[in-house]
Amino acid sequence: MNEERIEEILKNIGSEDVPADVHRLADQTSKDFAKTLMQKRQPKHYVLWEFIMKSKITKLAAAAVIIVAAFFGFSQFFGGTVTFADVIQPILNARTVIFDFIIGEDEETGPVMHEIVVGQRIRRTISNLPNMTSIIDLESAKILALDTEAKTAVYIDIKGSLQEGTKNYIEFVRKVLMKLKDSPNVKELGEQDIDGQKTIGFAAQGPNEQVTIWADPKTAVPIRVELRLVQLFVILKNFKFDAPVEDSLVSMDVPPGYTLEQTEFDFSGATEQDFIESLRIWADVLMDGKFPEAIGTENTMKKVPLLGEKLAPLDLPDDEKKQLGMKFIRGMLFLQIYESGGKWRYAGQGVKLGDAEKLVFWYQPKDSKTYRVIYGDLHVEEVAPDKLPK
Amino acid sequence: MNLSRRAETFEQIRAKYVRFLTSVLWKLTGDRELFTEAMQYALLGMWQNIEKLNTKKAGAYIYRIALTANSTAWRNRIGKDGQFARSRISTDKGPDEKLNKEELTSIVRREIGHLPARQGRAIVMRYLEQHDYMDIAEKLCCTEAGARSHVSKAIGTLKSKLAALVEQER
Repeated sequence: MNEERIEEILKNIGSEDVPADVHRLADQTSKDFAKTLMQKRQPKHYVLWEFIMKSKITKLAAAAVIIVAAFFGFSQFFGGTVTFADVIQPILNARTVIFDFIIGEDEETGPVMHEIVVGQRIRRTISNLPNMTSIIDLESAKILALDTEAKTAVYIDIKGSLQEGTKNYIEFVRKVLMKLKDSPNVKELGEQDIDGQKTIGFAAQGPNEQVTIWADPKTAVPIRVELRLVQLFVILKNFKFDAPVEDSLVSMDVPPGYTLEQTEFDFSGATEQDFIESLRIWADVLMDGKFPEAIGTENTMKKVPLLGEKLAPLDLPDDEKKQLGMKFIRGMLFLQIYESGGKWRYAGQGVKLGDAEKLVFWYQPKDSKTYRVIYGDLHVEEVAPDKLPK
Repeated sequence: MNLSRRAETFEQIRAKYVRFLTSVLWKLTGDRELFTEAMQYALLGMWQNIEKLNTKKAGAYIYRIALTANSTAWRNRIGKDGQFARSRISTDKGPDEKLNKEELTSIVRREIGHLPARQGRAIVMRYLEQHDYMDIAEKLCCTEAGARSHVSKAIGTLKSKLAALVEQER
């Protein structure tokens, strides 16, 4: 092989005309991208995410957000008045419940999940992933994840520890209410306008949970529920109780016209090492070398579209991008175990990846007297509680 | 820059460079599917680097975006090691002829994306856009001899890459 040969190849490449259909292809691709940009009401990450999804560069992060949304480590479930009892009846007894919920207190920009709950089946859509729908069957411990744009379907097995951690939010709220309904610690909050509607509020306090319900003062139908569980805060609103729901909406069968894809997702048994890898990805891939302001489910939900955006242009094969996405999610699942009941703290804001002196995260494993502390260079040490920052 | 303004700026920049990107990416990919993917990466790259594309150095960035987009699209197609599947390489010829013309062309297209930045730009300008060396020198802010040197080194790098690939097949 000589240099003349290479020059000849280069000249041949250079002399190729661009076929007319390739110009059309370029125009169409540009238009598709521009079209997503015109959705001005959506944040930038959403716009890019939608484009990435359409371009089929990677679907991993979409599946990931469904997983994050579906699993919650409610593994440690802790543990009147007539009017309060009236208010909670629709939640306790409804055959079907349709509602929106938001993880965290950011109602303006946080992702909103829309839920249709029929018995043990839940149909879930998420506002920042408009093409993704998941149907969760708590009985068989399976998720059917649908990409409504690409018309693809995938089953995700959530048996084992993930099944334990997966909760139907309404069922969870019901359990909290059942526990609190006869509690003497129910306070009437008086009347308040919510979204232009007159409501009456009640707050019930348990040892580790606090529920606030705002309901219609005439019908006692709940309008808004706020649930605080240790460090987790959830808002449920826009309720419809006992609305008719077509069976097909919560069917676990692959809808007609969809192609079933094989899944390689393995989210079982998330470990500390997964969490460390997840922190590395936060800092290295998402945050340009620094740890984020905050972590946890609320922030993960917001950042998953960014994960898609950051992964897509990386000069890596798709398989490696998928692996990165998987590691990120597995790590966040590890954190969820502690989020609703364990002792942990994150202090990584502004810490640079590689800084061996700064503490980023610490948590107390079950039955341990000491804490596991993760530093900026991601090494781990056992530290006594009294040696930790206050 | 808010989203609306950013989208407007993006549209202006896109309109300015779409023909360049179409031509260069088509020549670097030679395949419609690969071209579409590279074009998508290039658009994403433009969106993410919109501030840089709005400066005097925009010319340099657009080449980098095009070459990175090409490189990423090829990597996704071929795999981590950047090598073709063995079945695509014929084995009934002598070592230097194991790669047929089509395969050689594909490898050259792909490897242009892996050249050092200035070599990559130089080779694109010289052969894909067919600029003369004076023009290349002006765009690379170097002398004409410097431009020739970048092109020559790029060809040398491509030669080494191809030789390494042939060597693997021995």
